[in-house]
Amino acid sequence: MNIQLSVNSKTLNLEMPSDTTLLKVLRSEGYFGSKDAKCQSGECGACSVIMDGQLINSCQILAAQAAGHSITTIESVGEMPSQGWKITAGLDVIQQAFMESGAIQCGYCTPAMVLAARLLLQKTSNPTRKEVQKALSGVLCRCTGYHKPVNAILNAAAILRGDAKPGDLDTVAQQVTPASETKGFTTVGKSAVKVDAQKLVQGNPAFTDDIELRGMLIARVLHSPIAHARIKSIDTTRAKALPGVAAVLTYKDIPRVIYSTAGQSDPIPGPLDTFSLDSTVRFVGDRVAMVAAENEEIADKALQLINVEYEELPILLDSTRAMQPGAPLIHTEPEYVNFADSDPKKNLAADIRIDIGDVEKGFSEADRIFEADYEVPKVQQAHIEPHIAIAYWDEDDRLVIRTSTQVPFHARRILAPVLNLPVKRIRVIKPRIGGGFGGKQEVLIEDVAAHLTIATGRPVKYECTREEEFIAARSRHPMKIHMKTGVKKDGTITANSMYCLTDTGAYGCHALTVTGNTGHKSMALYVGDGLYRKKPNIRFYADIVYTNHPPAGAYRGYGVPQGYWAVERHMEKIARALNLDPLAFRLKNALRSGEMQPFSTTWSEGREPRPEMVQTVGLEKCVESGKAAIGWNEKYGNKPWHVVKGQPHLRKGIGVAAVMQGTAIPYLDMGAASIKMNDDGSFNLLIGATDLGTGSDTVLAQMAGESLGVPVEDIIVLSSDTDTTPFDKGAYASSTTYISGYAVTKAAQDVADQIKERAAKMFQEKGIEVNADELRLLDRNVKTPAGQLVSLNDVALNSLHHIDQKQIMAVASYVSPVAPPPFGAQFAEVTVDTETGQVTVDKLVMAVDSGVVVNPHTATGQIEGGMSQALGYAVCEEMTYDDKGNPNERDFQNYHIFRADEMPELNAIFVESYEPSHPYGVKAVAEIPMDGVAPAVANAIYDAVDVDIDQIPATPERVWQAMKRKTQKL
Amino acid sequence: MIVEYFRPNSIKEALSLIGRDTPLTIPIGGGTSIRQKSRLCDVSVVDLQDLNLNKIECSKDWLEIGATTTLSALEVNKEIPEAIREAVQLEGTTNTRNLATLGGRLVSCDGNSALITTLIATDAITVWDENRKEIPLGEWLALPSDKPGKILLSIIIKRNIILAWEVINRTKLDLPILCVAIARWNSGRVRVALGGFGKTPQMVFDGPDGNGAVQAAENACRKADDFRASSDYRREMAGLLTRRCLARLQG
Repeated sequence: MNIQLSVNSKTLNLEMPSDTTLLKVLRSEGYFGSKDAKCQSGECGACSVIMDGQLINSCQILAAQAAGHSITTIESVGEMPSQGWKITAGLDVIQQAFMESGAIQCGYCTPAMVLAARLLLQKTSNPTRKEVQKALSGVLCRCTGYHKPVNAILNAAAILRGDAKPGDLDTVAQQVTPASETKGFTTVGKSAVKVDAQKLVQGNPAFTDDIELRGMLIARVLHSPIAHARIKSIDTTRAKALPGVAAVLTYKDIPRVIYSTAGQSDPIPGPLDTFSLDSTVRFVGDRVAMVAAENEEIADKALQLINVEYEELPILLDSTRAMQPGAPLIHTEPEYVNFADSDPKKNLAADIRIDIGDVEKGFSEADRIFEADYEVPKVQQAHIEPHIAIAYWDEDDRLVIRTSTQVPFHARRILAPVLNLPVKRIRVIKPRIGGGFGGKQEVLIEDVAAHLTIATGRPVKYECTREEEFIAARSRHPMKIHMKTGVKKDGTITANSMYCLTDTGAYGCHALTVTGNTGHKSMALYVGDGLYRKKPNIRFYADIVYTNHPPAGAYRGYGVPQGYWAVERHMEKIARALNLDPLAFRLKNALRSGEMQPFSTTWSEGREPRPEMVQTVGLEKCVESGKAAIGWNEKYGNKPWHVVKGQPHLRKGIGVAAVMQGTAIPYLDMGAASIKMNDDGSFNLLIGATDLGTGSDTVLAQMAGESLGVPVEDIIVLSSDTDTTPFDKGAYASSTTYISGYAVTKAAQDVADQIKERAAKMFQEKGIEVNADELRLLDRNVKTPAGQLVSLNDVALNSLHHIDQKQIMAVASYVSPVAPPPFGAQFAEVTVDTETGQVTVDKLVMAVDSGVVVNPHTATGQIEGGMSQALGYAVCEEMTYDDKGNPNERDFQNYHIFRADEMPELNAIFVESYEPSHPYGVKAVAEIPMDGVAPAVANAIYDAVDVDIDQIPATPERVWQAMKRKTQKL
Repeated sequence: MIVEYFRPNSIKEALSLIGRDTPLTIPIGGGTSIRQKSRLCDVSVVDLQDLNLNKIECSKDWLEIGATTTLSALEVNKEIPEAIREAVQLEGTTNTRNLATLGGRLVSCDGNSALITTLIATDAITVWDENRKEIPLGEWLALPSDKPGKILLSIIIKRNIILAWEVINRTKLDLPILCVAIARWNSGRVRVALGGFGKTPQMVFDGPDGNGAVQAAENACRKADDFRASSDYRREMAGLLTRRCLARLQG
């Protein structure tokens, strides 16, 4: 049909099928700011546009419906002010505010938020915080917790009213108590605007899907409807015959190569148990076949024409049965490659047995023993941008894979044998990513696009739908955890023991390492006091079993949130039973500066363990700061505070959790950087490190800028291309700031030395006698002690063009012998309905010691966003299955993630320590906010209504059941 | 797949298109839920946006809400009872509510709809087709699949009622685990509707006063188990929320 659309005051005359959504039309016309997140029923809002003055989802409306209406997209809102000789009106005030307030993380939802803000500020010039939150309610964000976007809009409103100037209202610096060693830093420690903020706030085509390749096919995957079956027969004749279908592949058509999808270093620390396509399906959602066709509709029709006959096999969904004799076996393939103690004949993907000290002796010395069981659910990373990969042959017959990945180098290495290509003939490029959170630390779908490109010779795009994210992607490992702890009457822990039964699902990606971290980080925090502090007694045993659930994988926190759910609930119970102050009890037994990380002698992820002293432990200061921020002393133990006036069925409560995480994996994680100087004194920084929206490109640029004496805008960052950037293991294990940052600093210092050498000669030619090591790089200049200057611009021209020409550049790598942990104190305030069990979380405060904060905006953003994800883990998120293994949650309607106008108050505080093992004193920040929210909320529920919640999420029914059990006991 | 798109200028024209034997032809208001249906089979759609069915008309005794009134328009119109305006906030996100219509929501609702629960409680009347055939909403929803009426014109709510509702959800904006809506007439008549589970929300009690309403609400949840909550919990909460609503109506 022919229609006419008015987009940004421009008339488009278009011919299209009736079925075409407005979103599809906009993107095909080059309006890439509206994102196609494949949510299919409008929950995420990433595709938002304005139609006749209202924010709508362009995926939910046919283009034909939009005819006769006025459509406005982000592309009309603002643009780069200077474009060579063309000067534009520049960016909108709202866009500037988003950039300068640190409100942009991955940027996938940013255009939608900007449009929402414009509409609001057209209606009211002085909106309240609640009104701003309501305006953003239709746009889901998984990165920011909405905190800074709301602040950005309030700031923009104030600027438009004339009540403030840009930068006036930024209070983030107040959230950081700096370490004294950071005085004198010019770039590190400052809230530099993210290097990618400008393109993201304009909706420029920066994501994987934002390209069009001639002849590109669309891939779709046929998923198994059965949890466990052998494929008896599969007939693709009718599918292949459908006009527009270019290829249909089954297990019969591609090489049978066993691998692991886990994006980890070589050798993969886990069993190899996966094929791109197999003759056995092991969960509802497992792959059966793949199709490439001219468009989505034809590809979907082709899937329906594939005829599959299944021989159903017994299903295993209960992890407690997995290792029992007679349990259905998930992996019987002869190609299975074991790792460590994996044993597919027992459905065992991995096991862990760690004993530190003498736990039995410790129990015998205790005055009391506390035992309890805890359970954590399967939950989804729920990044708003789905998994997406585009593969194509380039002009040199090399396979290029453009993909939303956290691990480009691992992806290349892992795919090579699967595709029967050498590594050197594969190039992996990571553009901007719309969130990862561990879900993209996986070689999940790149093989689909690649196999189909090999089969057809054409570019192929495969993007998961939202349903596929729920049924066929990865998740956090669910666990059943048993704790046993011995304590003396004075609260000294004499022995601490944890047993985990982990359900890794149908495949063992990340099976060993996630659960290893559960013990390694959560059980390491409490060593005991007195003699026990010197020789702690800790046991950590775990069995990680296969079932016919979808596989679990990496999710931010990586086993540690699961561990702290159990540990911090358990510590709370002990403190209350002994009538001890919960904070004092924790601090009495917690690790202190100068002590050994107790697990460092017994376990390391993928390498031999080596003893490690923990040099900086800011836990006590975190507790003090967090207490003050939430008003702990006024609330805890204060009975009147717990009562809600006029509403006798409501009770308030306050709770805490202490946590520690890790910073990279010692002797394993490596990052590298290359820096070259340009003619104008700017620098190209090439890094393999992967920015997921975390801001790592910016933070690494800041570290480079600190050594080179230039602002961030003079560092052009190119990242995550296996052809052009040096190796980096990728974005996981909270390593980028520390490991990649160290490599960047080394390279920058090398470049700085070369600049100083050249500058010294230039000074000498002017008759100024000075040694290179006396010079400083500052404000784009090289400066002598006497204050004479030569600009970096002049140094660059001298070096590249004038005399003894050479390219000033350097490459450096770094792998660390230590993994200095960050620490945190998480506080929660709740209101509980004592009749229904409904829990409202009113406030979350987290105080963190993550070493020196390189960028307060990005760092506080990590805490705010992490807390909001962890909040879902605490109260509402859960992936459940029926008795045949069918998933119940397949979209964001049934799997609820928090929206802007239901968020509690968030407060992120940094108490800096200076970690001496890093040139800028940094530690990690990205994962620790996931660890403590759930136990802090449950501890607050206990404080409110005196019941134990030992399984999350703390749904109304679970809280109600706990209250009912308590009443029945009485 | 959507194989044809029409945007008629009159109800007569719309009805003649919908009345065709093939292909399956469906009217759309905002069209926000049509894509789920079109994934299963080929459909033609008849867009009702030009038929002026988006008016809200008030008189002393009744309120007539046009079928293509958007949910966001309902939310901000002060003539609409407050309970309905609150319940509508659980019908998808703000973006969705800017497009989705009352009629569209009604014909595609499942048991989770808080909005439809409140409308059932009010004993709302649905008005269909050119001859303005009136069918009580509760009756229409209870009918099996081959329901009468091709184009919903409007919904009529009597104004001589007060309405209260309560909801239990995991978070403020999550789908209801259970919602209860109760309307009370000046005559003392009390009508109770429940939602949050099953295929549609349901009327569970309609009596000259509230006696028996609590028991009726509890009984309606005897088989209300699903993956989101157990029937035991819903049963207890049905009684509790009914008592809370009745207390508010008396207050």
